[in-house]
Amino acid sequence: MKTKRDKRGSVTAFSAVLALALLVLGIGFLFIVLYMGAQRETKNATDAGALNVGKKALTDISVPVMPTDVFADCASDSIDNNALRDNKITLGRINRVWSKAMLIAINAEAAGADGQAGSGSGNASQAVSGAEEISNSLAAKLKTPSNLHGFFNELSQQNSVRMIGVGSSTQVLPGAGWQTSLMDREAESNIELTGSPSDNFYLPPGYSLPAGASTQCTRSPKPDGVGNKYFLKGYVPIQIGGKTIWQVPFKWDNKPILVASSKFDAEKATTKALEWSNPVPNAFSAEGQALKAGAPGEKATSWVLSNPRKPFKLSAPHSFLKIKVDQPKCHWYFYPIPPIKVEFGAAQNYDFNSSPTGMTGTTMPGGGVLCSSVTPPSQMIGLDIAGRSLDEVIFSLPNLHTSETKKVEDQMVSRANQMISKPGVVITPAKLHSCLGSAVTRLALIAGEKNFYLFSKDGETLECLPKIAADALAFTWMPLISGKDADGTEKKIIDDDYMPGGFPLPHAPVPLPFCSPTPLVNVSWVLWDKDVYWKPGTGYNGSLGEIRVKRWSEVHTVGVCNPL
Amino acid sequence: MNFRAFLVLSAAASVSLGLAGLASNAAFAQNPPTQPGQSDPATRERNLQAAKSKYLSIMSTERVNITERIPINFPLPAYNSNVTRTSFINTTKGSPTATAGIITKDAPEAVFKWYQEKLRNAGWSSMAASPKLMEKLGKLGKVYMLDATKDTQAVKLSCTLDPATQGTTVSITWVKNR
Repeated sequence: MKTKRDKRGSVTAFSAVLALALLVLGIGFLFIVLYMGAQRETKNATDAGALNVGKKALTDISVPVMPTDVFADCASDSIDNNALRDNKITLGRINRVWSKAMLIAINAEAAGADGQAGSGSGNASQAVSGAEEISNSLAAKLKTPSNLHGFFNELSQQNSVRMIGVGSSTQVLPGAGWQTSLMDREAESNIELTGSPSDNFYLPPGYSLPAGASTQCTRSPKPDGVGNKYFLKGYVPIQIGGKTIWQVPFKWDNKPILVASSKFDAEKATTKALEWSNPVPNAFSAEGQALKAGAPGEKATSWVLSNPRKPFKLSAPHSFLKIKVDQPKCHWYFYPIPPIKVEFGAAQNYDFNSSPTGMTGTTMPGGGVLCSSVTPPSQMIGLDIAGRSLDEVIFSLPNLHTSETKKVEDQMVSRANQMISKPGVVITPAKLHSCLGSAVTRLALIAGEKNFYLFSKDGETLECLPKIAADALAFTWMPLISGKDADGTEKKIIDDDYMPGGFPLPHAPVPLPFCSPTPLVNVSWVLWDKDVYWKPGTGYNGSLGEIRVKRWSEVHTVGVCNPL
Repeated sequence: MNFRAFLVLSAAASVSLGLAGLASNAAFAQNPPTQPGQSDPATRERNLQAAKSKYLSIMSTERVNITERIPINFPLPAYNSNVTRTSFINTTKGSPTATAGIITKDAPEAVFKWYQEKLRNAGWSSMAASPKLMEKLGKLGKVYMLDATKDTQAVKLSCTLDPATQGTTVSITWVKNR
């Protein structure tokens, strides 16, 4: 028979076994918790490292460009054209490079269509080749994992992995876990187009952007701030004049974000090929491992989609449009054999600082029918230019050639928009006229200035100033390029727009013997005339073109006598 | 055309035209003139018409028409105080454009103010060159200018002092863009 004491001993033994089992279970649970915690810590550290890769890949991996390089003006994250450039092209800036090459190609293509290509086509080819070279170098650097390892460690090591052990940290695990991908295909790049398809994105007149080259924001839901803006499409070949332009997609206002491995893998170049032979990636995978005393602990992989979150407008940042005003002249015409007119006597200069002024032409012997000589009466010359602004000199009376005048305006508005880097800013015709019509241009013309530069010092506003002032206001870049000529060929757009512009005055010709001046027909009148020439520039050397305005006056003097 | 060559040619042509005119003057060639060196009235009339037709051929080629009177349908009223002369020129092809000229004994400032008021009352929006600008041009008190627009019409008006008479020469250039 068992005693009560025996029963109690049995419970004690059972308790001991149970305690041991519980201890084992507890220790096991603790190990599981530690393991899972370590795994989570490692994953967190890897995520942090990967996000830093996605961020630093945008700014810290770069291709150097010479300060004189055509793309040196793209070597900045600022829209301010006067901001100093660091001569580095990064992932965050590569779309600026490609889009500038695209603008150059578009300008060359448009000039070619107008028969004004000049050396623009060759320059466009060089620009696209140059952009491709930079792009390839950048792609090679971004696809070299060792270039990214430092960014990973920089942040992953700061993340605690205490559950692995004291003093342990997550570091790069080199190898197949480091790959790149081409995500968000056909989504927007960070290059915004000016305006909308309805206004042809303010591209050169007659040129149309290829279908499928642009898109609106593809984020869903669409963020409030993006409105109806249009962007270039990423990872889509954009054909401009037989040249292929590329963009890297960066969805509007997205930060670098972690993405699922399945999405990352599906968009890898090896999984889904792109026409782009050496694409610049926008997504990176990173693998890290947590180490304890030199022995491997946990390892984890993360996938990050990069985004500079910095939009720019399609632009050639350091560029200008030159406006040249020819010396106004007064020409004197006579009609010795009606109705044929002939110019007689040297054309006389008049100017913005002396007009209006009375002028008299040279007496023409035999300058009229049965006239011994004809002398034009003194005419008031220069009322067409007196006190005028540059805008009025180009666009004001005579402006009867309305369609040609519109062409000039369209070319200038298009080029002005190419100088602006700040997204959302549109140079409308009204803004252009306001700039050209400033008091500064009026006073500069009176002061004798004939050469003006239209440019943007800050990538946002437009200026029109004489060369010396332009060089001073955009001192970091304008003096280097202001001497460059447009690479297209000149063409007259407005051809002899004219109108009567003065007081028709009677005069008395000297008749031949036995003749007398015919009453009411001996008259002299003034015509205001204007030619406007356009020489397109691609922007390859900074010049987006040249407008040349020729203003002149014609004094027509009819001398008619009849036999007595 | 080379100018010297043209000069020789034109002088020769002018003289030959004159001689032809003289030769075709029947009265001069066949009948004694009514006064020494003067043809009979009928011939004179023919000569005048021939001369005027030459003038008209020039006007037609140059596509302008010149008259002394400003048409009543000219978009701006004509200043009518102390006027000594008017003239008018318009194009006959292309977009309509014309210039009216008026010479008056009145002072430029008064004439200019008259036009400013007329333009304002007729609904034109105008912008006058500031005295500061005219001073820069060295024309302060000598020339007054304004630009005005209304719908598709534009006007450039100037009132210039005639130093000899202290009167004013008004020039009104008008254009209508289609």
